[in-house]
Amino acid sequence: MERSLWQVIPLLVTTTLSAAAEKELPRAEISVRACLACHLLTGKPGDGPPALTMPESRFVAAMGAFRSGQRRGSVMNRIAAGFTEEEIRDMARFLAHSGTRGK
Amino acid sequence: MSGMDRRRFLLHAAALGATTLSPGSLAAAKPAGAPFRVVVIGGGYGGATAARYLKLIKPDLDVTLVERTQRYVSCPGSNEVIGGLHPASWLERRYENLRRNSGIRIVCDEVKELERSRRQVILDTGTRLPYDRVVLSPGVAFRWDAWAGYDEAASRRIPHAWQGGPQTLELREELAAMRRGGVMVIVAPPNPYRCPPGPYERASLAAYYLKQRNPRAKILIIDPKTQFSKQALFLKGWEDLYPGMIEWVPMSAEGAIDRIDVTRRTVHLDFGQHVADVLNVIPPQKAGTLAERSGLTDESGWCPIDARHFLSSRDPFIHVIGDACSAPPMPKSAFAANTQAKVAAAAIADAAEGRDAGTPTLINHCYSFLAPDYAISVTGVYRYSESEHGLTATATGETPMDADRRLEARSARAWQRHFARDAFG
Ligand SMILES: Cc1cc2nc3c(=O)[nH]c(=O)nc-3n(C[C@H](O)[C@H](O)[C@H](O)COP(=O)(O)OP(=O)(O)OC[C@H]3O[C@@H](n4cnc5c(N)ncnc54)[C@H](O)[C@@H]3O)c2cc1C
Repeated sequence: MERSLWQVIPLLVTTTLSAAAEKELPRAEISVRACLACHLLTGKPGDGPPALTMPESRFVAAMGAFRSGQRRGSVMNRIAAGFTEEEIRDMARFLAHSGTRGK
Repeated sequence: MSGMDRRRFLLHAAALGATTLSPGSLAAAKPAGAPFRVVVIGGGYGGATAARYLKLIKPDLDVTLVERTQRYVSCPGSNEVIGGLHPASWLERRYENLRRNSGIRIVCDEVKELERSRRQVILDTGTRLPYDRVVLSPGVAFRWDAWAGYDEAASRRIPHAWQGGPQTLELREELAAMRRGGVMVIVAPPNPYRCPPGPYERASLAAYYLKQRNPRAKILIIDPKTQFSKQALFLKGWEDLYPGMIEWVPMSAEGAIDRIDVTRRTVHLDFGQHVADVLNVIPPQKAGTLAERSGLTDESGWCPIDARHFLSSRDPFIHVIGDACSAPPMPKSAFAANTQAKVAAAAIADAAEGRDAGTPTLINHCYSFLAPDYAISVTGVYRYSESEHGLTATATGETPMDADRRLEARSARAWQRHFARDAFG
């Protein structure tokens, strides 16, 4: 059965509360929420770029490549440039912890 | 709220320059265990997102969304309707999903008054809604006194089509009925206004329509500015797609707007005048009327806020988001309203729990269509800066000149679909 956005976000939210002791994660959570304007969490084909459901290491690699310009995608280059490497790692860690998929 | 939570919550409010916070209102804080009541005013992109995320982040909040219309009509996409790419019904957003899935109380009514001293929202029907926090997202109002000849009565004859609703269709019909080889004149507004690239996207999609049906027609943009959003990209697109059809007349060329004669469809400038077959006047703007009436605006006409939580600088219990707030350097867009709504929702959830909110990162990303398979975009990532006491851009950029515009058009369509779900469920 498809996992709707509706089911996933509360999950995201609850897991972070427990991880709130880790200082950078609340901020990562805020950043990830902004991403949801374009990226759904369903992981369904047709639901847009699967950035938020990919494994942690792939997320870091993809964002890093957009950020450095090594990978060209027009839109994501500009967005990735607004985040530091550390913030990107935090977002990846947050997504992995929140159970949207992989480690 | 526990004693500890309450103290932190109050400290939090006080830290935000809560000059209107009297000891009386402190004493009026709620007993422990009572639900934390949030009233969201305005069910547009800002308000709908705020209501939805409040419940997602903290399901035990008591959330009421008040919106005057049964169905929201989207401005994003409305230029495509004018260009004939979609029927007007495509712009309708319903509240059914929010009502069904989210546990939000949705009230269809007009907010008549915000009684800030008693923390109550007063509806047209007389109902009073007490609140712990308000999220205000009323959109824009027009400055009817700014351009001689274009007041509210005049706007019923000559459409602005800058609020979702019937004027979009009116403008589309006027374009379809325009004489062969006629001239459409678009009068663009001065900064700041909702959707900075909007007037130029409108000119592009009107040209797309006219090129097929009325190819000798011309479009003139009269602009009180000397530059505009994504300018180089628009100019390049017009040259490639609609050579000779669109002319931009900046203030530096013919001066300021002197008056607008809606009967003769004529725009008078300091050094010239232009007669239109189809006239579209997009007037100067300010924060929605309720914000102004409630004393939440400053001399600029917009609502000053603390960008950490989008709390009003005038009232520590009211968050103002979307077009109505002043959050430079973010533009006024639906995307910005959505991202601001999430920051405000998180801050409210934190306040209800007596935690401190993290510093926000916000994103804006706005597409403009120049043709169905040709789009461009502008992006900004913003962060709160302690030293600036406001937002600063950590990255900004536009579609690179050599980028694939078809790919951007595909992304733009995906965004439209996803974004509607992120805001309206
Ligand atoms: C032609 C055009 C194209 C655009 N294209 C894009 C785009 O592609 N991408 C993008 O990001 N942005 C776009 N925008 C901008 C976007 O429309 C606005 O930025 C966005 O709607 C702002 O959301 P908001 O919640 O602040 O206000 P609104 O969407 O205007 O919502 C305000 C709501 O509050 C309600 N309301 C107001 N006062 C009261 C009251 N007293 N009582 C009850 N209800 C009340 C109104 O009925 C309304 O539904 C475009 C705008 C235009 C005009």
